[in-house]
Amino acid sequence: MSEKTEAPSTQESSTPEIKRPGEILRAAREARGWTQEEVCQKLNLLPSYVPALENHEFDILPGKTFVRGYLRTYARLLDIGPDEIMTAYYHYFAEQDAEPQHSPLQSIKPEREESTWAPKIMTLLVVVVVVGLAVFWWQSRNPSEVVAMLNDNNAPIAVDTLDGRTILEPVTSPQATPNPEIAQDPANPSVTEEEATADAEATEVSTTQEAQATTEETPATPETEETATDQASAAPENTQGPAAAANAQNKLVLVFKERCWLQIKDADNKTLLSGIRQQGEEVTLEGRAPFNLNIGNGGGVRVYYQGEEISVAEHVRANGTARFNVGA
Amino acid sequence: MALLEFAQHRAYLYLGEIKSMFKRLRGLFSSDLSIDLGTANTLIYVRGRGIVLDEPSVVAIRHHGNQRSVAAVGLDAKRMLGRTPGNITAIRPMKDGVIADFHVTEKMLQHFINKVHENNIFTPSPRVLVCVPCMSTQVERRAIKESAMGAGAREVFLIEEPMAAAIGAGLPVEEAQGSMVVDIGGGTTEIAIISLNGVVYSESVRVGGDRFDEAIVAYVRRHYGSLIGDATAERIKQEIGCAHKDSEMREIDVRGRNLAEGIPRSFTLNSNEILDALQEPLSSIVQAVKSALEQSPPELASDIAERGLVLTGGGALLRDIDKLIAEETGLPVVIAEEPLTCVARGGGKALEMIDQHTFDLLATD
Repeated sequence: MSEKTEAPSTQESSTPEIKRPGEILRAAREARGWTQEEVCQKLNLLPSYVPALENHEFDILPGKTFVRGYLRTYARLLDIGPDEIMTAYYHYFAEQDAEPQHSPLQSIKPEREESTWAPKIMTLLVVVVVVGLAVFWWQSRNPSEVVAMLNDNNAPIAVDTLDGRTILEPVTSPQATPNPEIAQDPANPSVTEEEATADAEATEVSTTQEAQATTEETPATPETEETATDQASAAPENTQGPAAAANAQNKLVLVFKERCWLQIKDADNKTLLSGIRQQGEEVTLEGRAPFNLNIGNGGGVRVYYQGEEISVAEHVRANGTARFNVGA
Repeated sequence: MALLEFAQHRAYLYLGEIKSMFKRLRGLFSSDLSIDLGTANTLIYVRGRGIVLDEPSVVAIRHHGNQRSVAAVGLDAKRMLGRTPGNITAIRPMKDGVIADFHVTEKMLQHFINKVHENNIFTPSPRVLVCVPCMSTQVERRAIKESAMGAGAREVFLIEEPMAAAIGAGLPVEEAQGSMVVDIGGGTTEIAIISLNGVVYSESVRVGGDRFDEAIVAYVRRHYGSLIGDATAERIKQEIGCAHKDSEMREIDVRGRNLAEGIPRSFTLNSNEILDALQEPLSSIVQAVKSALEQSPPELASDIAERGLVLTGGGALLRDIDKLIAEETGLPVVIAEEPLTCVARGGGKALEMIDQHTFDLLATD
């Protein structure tokens, strides 16, 4: 070790003004007449450390921090400026003193690993979340619509034809169960009712848009909830009325000016007519009054009751549908 | 319905992810910092750039009625200490190594972090490593963490001060060898015995540079009947203060307000008087060092006896404090190079080690 450290000193003999640190210390110590053991005692160092410092045998010493620290303390004991010793020390032993620095590569590497790893997880998470949300939305939307349609026998089914029009077909079931019964049925939870309303509203929006776009097109008459309440209030009143029987055999004549969907029920809540009728058709219905008419295209039908024309126009709503009772 | 709630929950989580992603994005434009949030000085070390900020932990607050605004931070604010008019108060938000005024500390940190990132367009969002005294409570640690978060940090790591000091001083902390470090700061003196990246024994006494100043103020008041300010006391300590009776004798002229006459008077102090004044805080530091040595396991004690203990922190600059401790303990005492910046530099090195997944250095909060 000492041989190794001697080597640069011979090379750098061109700078005689800088003495080697050990030599400076030894000279100062000898000038005071102190022995190495005395210095060890004064500095509380192990007996081997002071000779090691003076002979530059730094391997014996515990570490660079301590080597530098001991040198400074020793220098101050001898009233030498610590800076003087340190410049000498760094002049000869700078390479040796170089601490194992964390090279930039080492410190960047793990970061890079992290930076490639994190976005992957992030992207995966984003994809999973988006797909999950989409699936969930699909699942939560579809069943409620189906349930609403199954519950509501009178609700029309929207069928998209190839030419882009929407045709609304009512579901025809063998036993046409009226709406209020279902809404009040204890077996059916209130949830279905809510869903039905939500659904009805949704269809309403779509139908109004289409009705505005093409007048020729068949508009729908949804609003099952409102129909349900209308019927609920209308039906019991009329069935119990004494006049109902007298008007039992009254005729209702419908003349279609335009293609139109409609549904007609009599006082017994029996569906007399339900479906689409073409332009120019004429339908005569018989049943117990009053009749409940639910017309999809209010402007496309003329209604005659007991030979008199009933004004449909006054019942037509903003979306083109008309819903009213005749012969009450 | 449950599914809906689940989806909402996922959405919130995702929102959080986006937020953290955004912070990470801003993090690309800010550097990792190691902050030595000291009672007297705050130092910031930036990875790859070294110590970039070294300013006193002082904030000057201006009051407009009920509103408060920051008038100055750091060196400018320190000049105002004890010289402020009624509407400005200069505050030292750290006391005894921990936060005394949460909001002011947050403002100060924010100011310093922004100062370090001065040439950035974006609001900086760096990862920050902050040093905490080893005897600080969970509440105090949390307060430091939160205030760093409030100042805009993306992630906050805590490290125990003596550990950072030991790393900064270049001690072989990762080896199975006992290293003893005494960090004499502004508010506290931290003593720790470290081995294998962990603190084996630590002791913290609330004695530091501030107590030295207070002791000098009290001494001057008692012996000269004059009142001097903290800033003057600090100057006396730095210029003629010493810790050992064999130290070189120095003198200083100071001016203070005479209590009896009420008029400023000039008088001369010498090193011996200051040594006398500092006797009490110095002996409590020595006592703490001794008790740490008493408590240390025998193997580590023998390592320390062989190599000695290392002094860091501003207190290590007090003349001949190493001589005093060496005499009192009979151990070799070494003063670290650049003792003032040891903790911040050590924190910076620890920050680099975090990337290398050496987490055992960090303190738990």
